[in-house]
Amino acid sequence: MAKILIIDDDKELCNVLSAQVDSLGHEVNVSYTLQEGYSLSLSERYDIVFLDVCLPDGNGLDILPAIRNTEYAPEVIIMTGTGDSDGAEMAIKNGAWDYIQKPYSLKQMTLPLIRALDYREARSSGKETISLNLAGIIGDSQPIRNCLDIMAQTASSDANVLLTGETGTGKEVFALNMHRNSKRAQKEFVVVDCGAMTETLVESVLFGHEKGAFTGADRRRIGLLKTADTGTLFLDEVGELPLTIQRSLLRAIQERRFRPVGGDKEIESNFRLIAATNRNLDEMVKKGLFREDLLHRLRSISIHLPPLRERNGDVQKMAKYFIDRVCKKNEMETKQISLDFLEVLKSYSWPGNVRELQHTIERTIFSAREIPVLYPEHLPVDIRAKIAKTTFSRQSNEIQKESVANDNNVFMTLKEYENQFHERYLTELISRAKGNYTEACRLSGISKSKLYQLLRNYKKTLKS
Amino acid sequence: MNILIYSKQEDSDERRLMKNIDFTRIHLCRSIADLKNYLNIASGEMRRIVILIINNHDEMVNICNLLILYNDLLLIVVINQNCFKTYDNVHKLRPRYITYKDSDFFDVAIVLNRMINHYYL
Repeated sequence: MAKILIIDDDKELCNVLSAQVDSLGHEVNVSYTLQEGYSLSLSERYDIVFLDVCLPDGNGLDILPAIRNTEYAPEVIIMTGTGDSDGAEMAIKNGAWDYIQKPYSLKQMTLPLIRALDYREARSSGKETISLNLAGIIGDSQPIRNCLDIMAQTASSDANVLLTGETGTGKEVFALNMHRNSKRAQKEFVVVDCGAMTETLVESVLFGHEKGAFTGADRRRIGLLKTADTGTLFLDEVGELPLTIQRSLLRAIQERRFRPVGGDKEIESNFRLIAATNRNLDEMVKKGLFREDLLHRLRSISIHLPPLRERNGDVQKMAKYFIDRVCKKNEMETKQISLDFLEVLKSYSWPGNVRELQHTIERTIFSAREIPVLYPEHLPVDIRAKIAKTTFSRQSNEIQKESVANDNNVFMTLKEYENQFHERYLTELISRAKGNYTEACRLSGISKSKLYQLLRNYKKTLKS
Repeated sequence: MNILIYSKQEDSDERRLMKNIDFTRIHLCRSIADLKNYLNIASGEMRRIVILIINNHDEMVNICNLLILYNDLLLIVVINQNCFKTYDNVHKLRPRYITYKDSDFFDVAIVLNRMINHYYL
C-alpha cells in the first residue's frame, strides 16, 4: 500500500481523486493549501504527491524542488487548470514525474499514478541489487542521493547522459564514477574539453585526420571518438562546441560512425557518451547557438548536480574528507576541526561549490601549519570577508523584516515605520554625538531647529 | 596565475614549446618530487594548468601514481610519438589535450590561451 498526498484547493476534485486512490488500496491525505501540504510532505513519508500549481497561498511549482528533496523523495504529479507549456517544462526540469492539465478524467489522473508507483517499486527493488563503487563523491544529502539513484539505475545502460550543474559541482568526477560503475569500466574514459579548442582543432581531435589533410597534418591521427571505442567519451563543456562540429557530432552519435578529416572511409566506434555543461542548453537552442536535435540525443538521461548550498549536511562530511586527503598528500597528521570552524563552513553559500570548498580546505591547512585543530582564523582572508559580508547582509535583512512588523506581528503603517526609524536614528545619533549639538547637526546634516524639533517629538535629549 | 611544466630534461622539443607558449609565469619542474612539492603548495587558484612532457612508459606510470591524488588539474600532455605504450596509458590522466613531442606546439599555444580565457578570465 502506497501513501499519496493531494495538494489542491479544488475540494470536489480532491474528493473524487481521494476516493479513486482509496479504491486502488492506497492511503491518501488531502491538503487545500500550499503551506499545509508542504508541512505534511515533510512530516510523513509519501510515495506520490499530486500538486496543484495555482493554490490560494502560492504557486505549487515553487515547492516542487523542496518536496523532491525531502528524505523520501516522492514522485510529484503536477496538476493545473491553465494550459501553460513553460510551466510544464519547468515542472519536469525540477523533477516532476508527470504534468496533467485540468479538466481531466479519472483515467487521466490514475494512469500517471499507477506508472509512478510501478517506477518507484522497480527503483526500490533495483536499489537493493546495485551497489555503486564511488570515489570522490562525498555526502548523503537527498539531492545527491537522487543523482546517485539515477546513476545506479543506469549503470548497465549505454544511454547518452547529460550532466548539468554549476561550475565546481563535480560533473567530471560524477562522469568518471558513471564510467567506473558501467560495464565499460575496464575500457578507456576519454575526456574532450570542448571549451579549450578552436573549431578546426576540436574537429581534428574528435574525428582524427589523415596525413596531409590540412597544413601541419604531417601524420595520421586517430580521433578521440575512436579512442573511446568500447569505452566512454566524456565531452566536457559541450555547450562550447561550434555549430558546424555539432552537426558532425550528431551524426557520429546517431550512427556511431564518422569520417576522419581528409579521410575517404568511415570508421565505426562503439562509445558511450557522457556530456557535461554549466550552460543552459535549452536557452542556447532558443538563441540558435545549440542544435535542438543534438540536445535531445545528448540527454537520453539527464542528471542535474545540485549546488553545494542545497546539499544540507554534506559540507561537514566533505570538509573532513578533504582534510584527510590534503593531510595525506602532504604526509602530515590529520587535523581536527573546531565547532566554530564547522559553523563558519556551514554558514557560507559556496558559490564555487565543491571545488571552492576543497580549495579553501587546502589553503586553510596550509595557513594552520603545525596547529592540530582548524579554527575560523585559519580560513583564507577572502573567504572570511565573504562570510562576514553574507552574515551581515542576512542579519540586516532579518532586522528589516522584523522592523516592518510590530510586537504583535501586525504589519506597520508607513507612518509607524517612519517613527520607528526616526527613533532608532536619533538613539544612534545621540550615542555618536556624545551630547554635542554641533556634532549632531554635522553628522545628521540637519539644522539645530530641526534637531530640537525631532528630539522633542521623540522625547529624547542629547545627553545620552 | 602560474603555468606548471614538468619536463625531465631540457631538449630541443622543450625549447620549442617554451618559445611557442610565450608565457611569463612558468614554473618548471625537473623531477616528479619537484612536481609533487609544487602541487602541494596551496596556490590560490581554483584550477591549475599543468603541461607534462612525458618521454617513456616508466615516467607515465610514475606520474599516474602521483596524480591520482589530484583530481582538479587541467592537464596538457605531450608524449613521445614513438612510444605506443605511453599513448595507451595517457587517458588514465584524463588530460584536456594531448599532443606529440615533434609537434610544432602551435596547438598547445591555442589550447593554453583558450583555457586561460575560459577558466581564469
